[in-house]
Amino acid sequence: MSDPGPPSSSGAGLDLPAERAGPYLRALAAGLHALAPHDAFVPLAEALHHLQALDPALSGDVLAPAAVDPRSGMPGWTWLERARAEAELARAPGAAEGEPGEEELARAAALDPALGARLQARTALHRFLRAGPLLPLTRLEAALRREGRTADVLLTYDRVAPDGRWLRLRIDLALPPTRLRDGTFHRRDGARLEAAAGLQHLLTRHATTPLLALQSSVEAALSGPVVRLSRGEIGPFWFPGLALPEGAPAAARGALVLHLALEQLSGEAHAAGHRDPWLPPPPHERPPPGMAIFRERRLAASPAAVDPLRAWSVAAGAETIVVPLRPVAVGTRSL
Amino acid sequence: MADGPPSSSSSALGLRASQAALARRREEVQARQAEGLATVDRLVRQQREVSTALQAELAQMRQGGEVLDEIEARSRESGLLAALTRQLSRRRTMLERRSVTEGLIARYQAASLQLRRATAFTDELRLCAADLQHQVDELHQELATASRLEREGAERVRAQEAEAAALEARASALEARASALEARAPALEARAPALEAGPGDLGPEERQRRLDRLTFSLRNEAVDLELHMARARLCRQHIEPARQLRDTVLSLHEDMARFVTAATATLDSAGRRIQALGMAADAPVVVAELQQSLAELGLAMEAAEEHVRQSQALLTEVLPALSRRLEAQGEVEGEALTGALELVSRERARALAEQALREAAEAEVDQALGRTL
Repeated sequence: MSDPGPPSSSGAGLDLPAERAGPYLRALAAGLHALAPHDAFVPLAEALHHLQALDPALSGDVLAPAAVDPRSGMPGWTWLERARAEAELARAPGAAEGEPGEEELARAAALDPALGARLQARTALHRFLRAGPLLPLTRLEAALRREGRTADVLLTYDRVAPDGRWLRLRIDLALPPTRLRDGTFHRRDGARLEAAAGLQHLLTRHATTPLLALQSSVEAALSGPVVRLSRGEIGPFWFPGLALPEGAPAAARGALVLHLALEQLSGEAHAAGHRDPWLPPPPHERPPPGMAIFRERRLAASPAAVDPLRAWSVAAGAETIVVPLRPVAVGTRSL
Repeated sequence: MADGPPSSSSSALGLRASQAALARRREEVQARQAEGLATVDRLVRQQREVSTALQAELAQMRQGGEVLDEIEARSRESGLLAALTRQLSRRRTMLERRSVTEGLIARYQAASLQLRRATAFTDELRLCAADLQHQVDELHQELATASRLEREGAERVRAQEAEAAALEARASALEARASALEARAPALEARAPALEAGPGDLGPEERQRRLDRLTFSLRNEAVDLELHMARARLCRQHIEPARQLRDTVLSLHEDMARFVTAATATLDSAGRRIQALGMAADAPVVVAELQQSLAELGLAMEAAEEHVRQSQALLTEVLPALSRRLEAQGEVEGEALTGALELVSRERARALAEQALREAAEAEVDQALGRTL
């Protein structure tokens, strides 16, 4: 992404000029490809699909303006939501059949070129949106891993965090089997469970609270121990033109830097560790007996910033993985 | 003028074909306007539906704001007990605020969906307006062509009429001279014009043949002229309803586009603040800002309500009136067209040519003065 004038600010949001939206999205997609997040993070396919839907190369100005969260540099909530709402319209019964055909699009373009271009973009966007899922603003999925003396349940909660980061909580629980019958969960099919709405509300309330407080809130609400808990976050994404937070490494200035952060509480004591050069561990944090906390932050950065950022992480006492962020082909276009 | 015997059957066929073409065109224009009217009617109903749905979702969002109001009012309660418990209830208040978040997110998503539908609908209105403008343009173009043909035809009728009159005058004069010579009546001879047969003068048969051909041509021209005039009349009569339909859709589009832009900004602003509610430090200022955003939704709701009222008026008054007018006009046009082409005499041809030229002159004056049709 070449350097840029400052994005404009509207209210609490930050609007990218139209010509910068595509390069910004492709840079973010390249960062995701480089970091290859696993299943402790929101699904990569959904994230990439969402980014591609927002790209003006596909959707023209249908989803404009390109709003970015000024705190995290991630796509703004309202921008993401516009794509989600379009996806709902695209998947509505009869939507595909009601789409304008080539002839109608050509007629519209002849009558009003700008309108024709927008109708064409909306049609292409709807076809694309029907082909795959997008990131949800909030989503809770529950699965029964094993049922015996305890009902082992895995909760996966995804959310676009208040500051725009993409967050996933994975919570392994060993619940009393009665929880499967008291209305907290309903069996859907196979191992899939449907969680009560109150549980999703609880996780929305606590999604960003410190790990141990989150653990005790979930345990108190469900009357069962949390065996393993992880919070995976994608973002912030620092890019030229975004005001960097205080304390950001000098090497990040003028560079592209995408963060991938993982916090994990588990019974694997050997897994304890802190490899996050950006955030120190909370003071006076004491994991419950037999459990350990592991934190890691990996970075994808512009090639020129990789070595300086690695050196910065070493100097911060938490050496981390920094991978180069390289252009990737997205459809027929590249970064 | 080409020589050769005129064929009455071919001219009748030509006349019928022209008549049929004009009748087809009239039906086509009427069908397109009826179709346009039906489209506008559908769009107005759709606008009412979209505005009502959006209004309902915005109202639901505001209700979420009222829950926040209650939480905030509780946290501001004064008194000794409230002061003592405030410290203890601070965390509870924060969690309560966040509890509202999930509900507001769901409402925001529903409102956002309705807004996307309204945005797509705005484009549909714009396309319909462009389509109707195209029809207006076509009618204008057709009117210009018909008017030109009308003027040219009228000029030809006048020229042929003059030629026929000259031939007739010449024939009468020669006839008078011949009669005088035949009667050897000096008095009559003295009164007859002094005519000598010139080298290019036509024989009586040739003169009659030419007169016959001119008469035939004049009648054909007159029929064509009548058709061009009918076509021009058809265009003039349909331009106004087409323009009225276009203006109706244009104003629907303008209102809807303005409303969607304003509602998008308000909803985006509310969305950003709903999102901020989940922050660890959701300070009362965030809540206050959100309350303000939700209050602004009230304006968007009022605008939606106004659209519903306007669309009701369009459906019950404007469109039915336009429909009645088009129907009445169609009947009159049909009668005029079948009656006008029955018989065309030379007198009628002359009258038509004069009328066409007068109309052309009036149109030129109108154009010079910048008056619309």
